[in-house]
Amino acid sequence: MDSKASPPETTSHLSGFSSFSPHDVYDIDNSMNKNDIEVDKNGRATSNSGSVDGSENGRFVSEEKEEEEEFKTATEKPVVAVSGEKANEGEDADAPFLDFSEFFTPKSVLPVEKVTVNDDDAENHVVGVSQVRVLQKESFVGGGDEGLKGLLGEGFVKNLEIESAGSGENEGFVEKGLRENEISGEFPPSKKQEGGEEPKSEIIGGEQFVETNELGKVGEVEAEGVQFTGQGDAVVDTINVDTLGTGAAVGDVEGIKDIEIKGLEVPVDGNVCLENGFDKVNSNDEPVELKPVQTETESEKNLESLTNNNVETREVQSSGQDVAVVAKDDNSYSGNVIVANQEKEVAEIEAKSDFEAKPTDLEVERVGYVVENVSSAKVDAGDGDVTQAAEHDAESNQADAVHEAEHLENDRNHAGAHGQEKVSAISNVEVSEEEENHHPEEDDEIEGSATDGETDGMIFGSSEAAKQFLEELEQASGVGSHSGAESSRDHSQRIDGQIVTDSDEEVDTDEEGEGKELFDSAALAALLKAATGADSDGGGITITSQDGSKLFSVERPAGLGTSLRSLKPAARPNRTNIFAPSGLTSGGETETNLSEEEKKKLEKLQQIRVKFFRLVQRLGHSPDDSIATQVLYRLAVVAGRQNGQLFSLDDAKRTALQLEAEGKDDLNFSLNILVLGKTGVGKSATINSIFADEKTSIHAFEPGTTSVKEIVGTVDGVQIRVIDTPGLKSSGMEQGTNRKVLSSIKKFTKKCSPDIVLYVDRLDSQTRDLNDLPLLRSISNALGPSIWRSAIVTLTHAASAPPDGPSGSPLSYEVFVAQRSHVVQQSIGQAVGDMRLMNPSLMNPVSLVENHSACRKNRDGQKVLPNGQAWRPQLLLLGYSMKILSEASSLSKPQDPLDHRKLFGFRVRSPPLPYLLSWLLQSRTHPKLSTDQGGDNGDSDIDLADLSDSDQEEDDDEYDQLPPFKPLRRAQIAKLSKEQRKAYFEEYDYRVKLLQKKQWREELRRMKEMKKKGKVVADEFGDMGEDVDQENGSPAAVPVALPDMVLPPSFDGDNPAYRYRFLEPSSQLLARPVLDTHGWDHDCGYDGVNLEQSLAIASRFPAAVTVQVTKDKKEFNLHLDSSISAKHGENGSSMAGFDIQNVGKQLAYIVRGETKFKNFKRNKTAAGISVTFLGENIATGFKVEDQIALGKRLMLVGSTGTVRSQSDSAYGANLEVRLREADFPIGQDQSSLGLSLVKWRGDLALGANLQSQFSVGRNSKIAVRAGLNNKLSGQITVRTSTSDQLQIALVGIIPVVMAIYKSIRPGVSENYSMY
Amino acid sequence: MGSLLIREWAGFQQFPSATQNKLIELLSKLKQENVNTLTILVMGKGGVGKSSTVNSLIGERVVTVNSFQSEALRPVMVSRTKGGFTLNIIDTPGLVEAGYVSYQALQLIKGFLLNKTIDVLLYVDRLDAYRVDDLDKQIIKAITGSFGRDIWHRSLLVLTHAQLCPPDELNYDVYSSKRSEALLKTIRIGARMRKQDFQDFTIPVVLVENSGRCTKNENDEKILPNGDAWIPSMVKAITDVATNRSRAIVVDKKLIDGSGSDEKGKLWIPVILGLQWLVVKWIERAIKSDIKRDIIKGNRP
Repeated sequence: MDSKASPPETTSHLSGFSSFSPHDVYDIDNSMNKNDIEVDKNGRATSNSGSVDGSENGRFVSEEKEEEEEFKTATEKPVVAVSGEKANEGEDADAPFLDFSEFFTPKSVLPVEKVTVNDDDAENHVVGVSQVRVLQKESFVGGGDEGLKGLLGEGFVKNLEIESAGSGENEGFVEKGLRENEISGEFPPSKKQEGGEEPKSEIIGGEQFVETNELGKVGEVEAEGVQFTGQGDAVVDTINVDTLGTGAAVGDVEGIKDIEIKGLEVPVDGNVCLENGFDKVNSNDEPVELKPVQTETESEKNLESLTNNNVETREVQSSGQDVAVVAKDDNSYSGNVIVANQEKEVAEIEAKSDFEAKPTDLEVERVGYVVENVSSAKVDAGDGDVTQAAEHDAESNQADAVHEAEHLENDRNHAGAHGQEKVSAISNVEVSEEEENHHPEEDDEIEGSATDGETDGMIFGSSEAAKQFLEELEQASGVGSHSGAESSRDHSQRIDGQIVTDSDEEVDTDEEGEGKELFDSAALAALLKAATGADSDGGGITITSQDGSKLFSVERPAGLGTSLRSLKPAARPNRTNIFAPSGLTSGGETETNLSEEEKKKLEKLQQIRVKFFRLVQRLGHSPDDSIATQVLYRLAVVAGRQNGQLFSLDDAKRTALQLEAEGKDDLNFSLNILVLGKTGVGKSATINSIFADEKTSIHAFEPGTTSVKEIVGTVDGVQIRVIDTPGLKSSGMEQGTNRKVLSSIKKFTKKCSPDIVLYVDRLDSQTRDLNDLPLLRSISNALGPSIWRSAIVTLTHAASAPPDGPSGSPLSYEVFVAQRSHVVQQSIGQAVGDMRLMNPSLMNPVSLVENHSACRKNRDGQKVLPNGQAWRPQLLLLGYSMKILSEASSLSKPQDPLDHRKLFGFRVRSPPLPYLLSWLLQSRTHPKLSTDQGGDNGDSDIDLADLSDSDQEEDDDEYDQLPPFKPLRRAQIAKLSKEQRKAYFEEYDYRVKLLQKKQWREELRRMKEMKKKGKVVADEFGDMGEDVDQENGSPAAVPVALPDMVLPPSFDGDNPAYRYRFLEPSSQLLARPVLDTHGWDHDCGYDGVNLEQSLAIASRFPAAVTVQVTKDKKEFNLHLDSSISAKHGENGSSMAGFDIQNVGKQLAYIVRGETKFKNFKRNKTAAGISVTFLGENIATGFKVEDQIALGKRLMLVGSTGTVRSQSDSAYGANLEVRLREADFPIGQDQSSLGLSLVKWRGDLALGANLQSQFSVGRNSKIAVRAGLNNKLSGQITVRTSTSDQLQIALVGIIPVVMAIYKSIRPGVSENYSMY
Repeated sequence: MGSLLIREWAGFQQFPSATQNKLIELLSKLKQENVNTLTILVMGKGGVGKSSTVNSLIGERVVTVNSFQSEALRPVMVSRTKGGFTLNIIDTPGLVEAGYVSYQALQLIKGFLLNKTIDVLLYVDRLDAYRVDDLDKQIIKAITGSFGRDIWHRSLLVLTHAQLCPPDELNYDVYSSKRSEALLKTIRIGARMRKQDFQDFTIPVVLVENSGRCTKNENDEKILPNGDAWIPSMVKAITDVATNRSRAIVVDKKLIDGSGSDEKGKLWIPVILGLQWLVVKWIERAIKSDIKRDIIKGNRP
């Protein structure tokens, strides 16, 4: 019925029947346990199908037929039939890690980089919500200020929201990342080198989260501060306000008021300009999260815009949003100013926005601004100036938040100065969180592939956000909180891929960096900020070292902040004072330790920068444009820690300006663009627009382009080579045509590989029902999914009017664009299929295009979109940026060019704790010496004492007293009448049972005797089998040496199963093939081999080794289990074990130890520890297990354990009740009910598992298995095996028939209703 | 289903008075022709504006419209009565799914239309799409297969999103005529109509702009870029079609079941079965005789 039969049933089934060794019995339990956990995690059973029941029965019959042997033989046979129990076990264990990824990923909600912070630091102590941990890192920051200006600006918050989701407890919290920059404009611009070693702060976020939970705080903003900087002026803020999530109680009303008032009152120092690059992070559909919004502030340069921005901000605020920021300062500030900064703050920000009312107003205002400052820094294509209402909201939120944050910071400063401990640090807090989440990724991307990174940053107008906003608009404001948990959970799952990416990053970093520094970039960022930041409102920065001691802190004078800061190198006085303004000096002290190679690299990087600046310049963009800053930031990350003078941003800028001024046309830059898209969407027209020239013919009604062709032209001195392609067809029937076109495209791209791909579609075509899926799939198939990595979604007809929304009034342009982009991006994601490849944060950037000749133009004659943006430079900038980044990333690792697979492959940063936990929690049998068989070493399941001698006597007598019974031959049976036959079988069964009982008892008795004999029998071990044979005269006592393997779930006659079977072991080493249960029919389903060996070391310590190696085309799996045990007296035994297994792509080495004691008669307790080495991680685990037997039939097993790695821990508990038939080993009926609970990263997984097996009649057995977890997914498996009611098999047809019926008559059940 | 209360055409009052006058005129003309009920079926790809067109025609927001996802998963009939005249409009789900014609949707529509009479079919597409592709042909084919070729005699080509600025500096009228020509050609090919036949029953083309930002004339009527108020002209086209000499399509069991290729060659089934039986018999006989011969041989070694 179900090919995925579950192993446990099989095992227990048979083992009960046949094996008398307690060891086997125990196996059942083991496997059950495993299964519990497994099912909980997976929601699905991994299993091996054992069709053993049938075979067993069959054997039975065949035995009989064969000969009229003595009865005994007949009964013995079943022993041999013990099938696949070992195998099962092996595979069982195996299964989880095969499936591991699946089961793991969903859990990996939280950013993996979370590190627990248990800072015992004196000051940090507090209710420790968020602790900032800084690992110190040394690095050179070259031209402090100028070197990295504002580069670090973009932060993406990725996983934050998820976290919240994960822990159902925090319903609402607002996450907000603020980067704030403290740099005063007064720094002499030419100040170049403040080299020196700087501590890198690593801030580890996420963790707080857990702690938060524990502390029972609800709704906190988690954040930690990393600040960093732009050069002197840039303030980059990233704010992620989770509005929906704000169910949290807003603590202090006063606080809110304060903040608000301040926000309103203080115009942010004049040089803060907020720019929202609506960074899309997760463009997947979770409505819940607001996107991290990135706000960048530029100062000095854009004075004009500053004013505007101020105004804007005010507008926003006045527009009726009240963002309440409640800052709970859990810090106990040590009164020390130094400490002041980055401890834990709990900030609850509740953004209740009255969005609905205002959007339009906002929009209008916005537009107004746009007009005013075209030149202002908002260049983000997507949000541009006229952003959707939604974005406005977001912006306003941010704006508020920023303000508040700043104010808070101000406050803090004051506070710090005055020794008060109040307020603040919100900004810090948020920043870091953001940062951190982000940074790894960015790092990673840069190292791996630039494009990805870029993608993150460059998606304009995040559709997600838009969506959310829509939702918000529709709902009353502030309602959203309920949807929080759920959707964010979704979200979390979607994000897996991303996390995976993160993990990569780690590896990279580790390779380069020393030790386990994970977040260099974050650290760097913080440092930079500290170093160069001259914030208008001042504030202190403290970077805490890992152990909680301060590395250094920067104290800012309160007040408006152009003043310089002094550095207080607290923890590391030996450090060079990087922050001392070195003015115009340009000493080379920091470069001394750069290796030649690094220097070269930096030089090249610098060239790239110069190039980029020049490109930006030519496009008429400002380098402070959000895309540009992102690119620069990533370049900075590529540069890594070595920021020397060579790598100064301003230098690059100046060079660029100079070169441009000279009018030199030596810009060595070209761009290859591949243009793809449906027919008639305007590919060729777009190309024409790019070149501003009629380069290719276009036609409205017929395909203008009939073959792939190359168009070369020069735009602003950049050589652009475009591959124009014939339009693709969306119809599923015409994919053949598409394939032809695509293959010719492929040929073409081999000649000159495209740097970027424009996937062109119309903005105004409301394609839905996944109409483009066949097309997109064809593209992915033909050109490879990686084609999408460098793809820009280009939406033509961008000037078309938005359609009417659900309410009947037209959608706003931004919403329209956002939704449409989302649809396209989503279908691309779907076409690529692999969510890891197309993970939400890596959605393709979108650019808008309007080719119509009647398109509105700005003063420069450039076509502008309805939102006022000139799209062409934007598109080109995007393209250039992608190319630049990929150049840079190839530079950073020349020997390892862009390997996407590596980026997106499965690699785990932190070990999959739940998995390890389940591994740990399994109860294991301690290997036993043969002499101890059944011995009371605290590990045996069988209580010898249970059997009173009198009992046995009775039974034995019973059997012996029976009249002789002669089994009949089959032929004879056939002659019997129905009644006779029934009677015969009844008798037969009865006798078999009795005989088994008798044998069982004999066995037990034998064991007892052996025990009494003590260790004398040590030498018996060698030829134990023989010995036992002699003693009992019954093969039943042979320890079941070679469990039969599971037969494949196939009816195939020439199945190779029998080739590999040998039932009589020839040596102590057992070798068996491993069956792939999911194989196909007619397929040799064996892809591995399993070896088992049990031995005794020094004749005293029994050991068992099992190795299983499986290999198929894709993967190679190794699984080794070995354990050795030692006995302590009568009641205790310890076991040490060493396992190796594949976890993801890595090998995990597990060392475990366990001790079991039988402390009372019916109670056994075990405690164990394990240490897992996985990659560079070490996970430690601890478990306690207790087993209570209640009466003969009921068994209660509870175990609990925890696994901890880095700062992450998972807790789990299992509780299981087993009920067995009274004469258990002989009767096979047993049921177990298990409950398991795993808590990891705030996510609580609860699962229940029921297994039951019982016999129905003589030859039928039924096994029922049901599992359910708290996500309401579960599985029910019913297995029946019978040898006499064949028609039952027909039941299996029911689902098949139902499925067929459903597919034939689809709409049967549907009722048509008129409305 | 049919017992549904037919509501008064409230939306009629929402039309500008100029439109109302024209409509009343047209409706009375219909009445003269003794047409008291008009059932209009609206079909087309997803996302082209079928539902919006229905809403515009009724003058109420009777069908929910969403730009980014399909709302109508099954056919919906909207009935309105006005002065003894009943207007039924059947909105249908989009006929395309994942790049293929959705026969499931078609089946739904057919089931829904059972025992109804279709007076007019509105085949909806966009004016501002430039290309006609194979999918369109498939759709036409599917419709023809379901309702017979005659349905095109009762049909209108409705082109939505008519308020556009034509590309290539084309004149608006030139553009729209080109676009409609292309589509009509597709219909002709898809429905496998002979040219002559096609010319006899020209399919009228109606341009439609459902958007709320459609420009309006001094009478507050929504007009096309060429100045026509499109609602009256659409209704006029509808009445023309409704009163042309072709028969209305009555959807009955036979039409639904009989459509497709299932019907073809049904007669042959018994014949072929019989033949098969004969062949089998013959083979059996051959085998038997063969065995007999073998046995005879074997017995005589």
